[in-house]
Amino acid sequence: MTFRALLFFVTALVVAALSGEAIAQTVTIGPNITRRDGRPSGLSLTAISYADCIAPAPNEDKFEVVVTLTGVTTQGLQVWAAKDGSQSCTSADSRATLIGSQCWLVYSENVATNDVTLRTQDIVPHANSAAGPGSGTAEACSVGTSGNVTLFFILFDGDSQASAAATPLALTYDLEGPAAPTELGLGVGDTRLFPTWEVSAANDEQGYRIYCEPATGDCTAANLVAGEIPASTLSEKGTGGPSATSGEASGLTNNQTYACAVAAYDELENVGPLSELVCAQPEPVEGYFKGYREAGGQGGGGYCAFGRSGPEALAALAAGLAALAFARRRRSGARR
Amino acid sequence: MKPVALFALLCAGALTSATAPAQERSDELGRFDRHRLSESPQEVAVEFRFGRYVPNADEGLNGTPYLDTFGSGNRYYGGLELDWQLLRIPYLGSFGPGFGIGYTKSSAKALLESGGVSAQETALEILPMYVVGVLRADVVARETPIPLVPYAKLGLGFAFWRASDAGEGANVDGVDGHGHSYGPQFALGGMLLLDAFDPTDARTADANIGLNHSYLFAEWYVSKLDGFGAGDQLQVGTNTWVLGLAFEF
Repeated sequence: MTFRALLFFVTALVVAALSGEAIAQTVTIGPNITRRDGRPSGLSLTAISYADCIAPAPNEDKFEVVVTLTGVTTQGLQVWAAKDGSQSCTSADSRATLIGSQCWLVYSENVATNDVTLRTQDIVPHANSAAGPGSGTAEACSVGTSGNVTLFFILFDGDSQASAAATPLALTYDLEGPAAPTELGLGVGDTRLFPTWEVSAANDEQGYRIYCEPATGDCTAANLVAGEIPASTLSEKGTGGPSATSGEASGLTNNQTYACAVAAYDELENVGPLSELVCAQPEPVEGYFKGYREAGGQGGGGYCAFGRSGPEALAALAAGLAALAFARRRRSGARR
Repeated sequence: MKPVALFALLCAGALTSATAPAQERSDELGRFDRHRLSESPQEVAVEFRFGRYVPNADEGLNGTPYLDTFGSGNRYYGGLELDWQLLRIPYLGSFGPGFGIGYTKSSAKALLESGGVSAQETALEILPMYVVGVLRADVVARETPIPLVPYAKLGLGFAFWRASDAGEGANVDGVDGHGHSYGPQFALGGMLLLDAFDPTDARTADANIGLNHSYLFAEWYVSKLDGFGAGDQLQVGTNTWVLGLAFEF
């Protein structure tokens, strides 16, 4: 055997020892991902929220990805998913529908195209994943699940052998909102109520939503149930920031009893369960200016005033005056 | 020489050396003294002010709405004043116009009409300003070892104010809760010259950035912002004390 023949034989053995599949052409995933219409613009494009997962047709959520194929003639394209980075799906064994397999098929086309659309409900791990693309339903969107999913874009030749694979695309899914705040209190104002609460043990709150509905019976409300996630159609009466422990519910009617509850939401706008309900009635309030006018004061109604930015305006004015004084000081020093 | 006479002579010598003004010398370039061999020109003074500010807002009313709402506790204000030391009065000090501006806020939980305290905040914000003539008698600090500068101010005060409920501008029967008030204002105070505690640093500051003098000051000032008795303004003036830092450039 000549040296060249020996080298070819050794190379073939090595290649055969490694998975038994040859990677030739290239496939790359474009940087842009398109999701469902109306999805909040501030959310990560590689994250799946509960609202994403349950979005119904015709506006169900999806991942629209542009795939670039290089050196490809007639090839099929498949996209496989693996949970929590447990394994790569580029090998045939990993893709086999065996008990214990960690990969499931979310997309398949006999002829690869540049525009690939993946259903979010197929990507989220679900019990029926072995049935392939289209098997995911809203039932897959179980509250309380979260984790990571990696997508593998794989080209197949005419012999159903994997010929190229793109860099895996990493996604996250979080279908659960933060725990409900506790120790709810409720202060009274003029057409306003002021709830207070204790922060829950969870640490992924991005804010709070305050819900108040006219109370029925013993501090209950038809659309507010403690421990349940508020309906997405229910509008909040107020909000609070990430570290808030109080807020304001406005636009209420005086002398009407309201039941109020607070729910936290995370960075994917997953709303958690409602807190306990507390009830109170907004009442008319006598602010300082009303008392002043009732005591015979005539001031007010002036054309000139300053707004909430008074302290900031003062600081800016102070900086301006200091700069002016310093500039004048330098000019007079230069003249001398 | 008798011991008593010698003692008296020594005492006189000690007193003389302790109270003698800074040696004054001159040459072809002008006057100088051992404390201020050279000094940059001085034209402006800047004050950073902090003090108690409780407006006399119940003055002339049939009741005490300010006291009832905000209580009798202290409120505080921060401010800034800029003076142009236009004139040097020989053997006295400087005189010139000054402009000041500050900010203070009183806030509390509003009262329920049915009685009791609500959870809703009501507030009164005031932006007091003034234009005054400022007379600083720095001759004491310049010509004696006593590092004190008494001063007086007299002029016109002007303030914007804004009343709010739950953060929004108040409105009662169509009248917006904001406006302005003006009236006379005067102040008396004293400044402690800090240069005396570290003359070397003081000279360095003057040479490098033109900072002639630094002071701590305390001031009593009175503003009567009632429109000169017009009766149609919220009297947001006060009678109070102020502390702060002052710098002359």
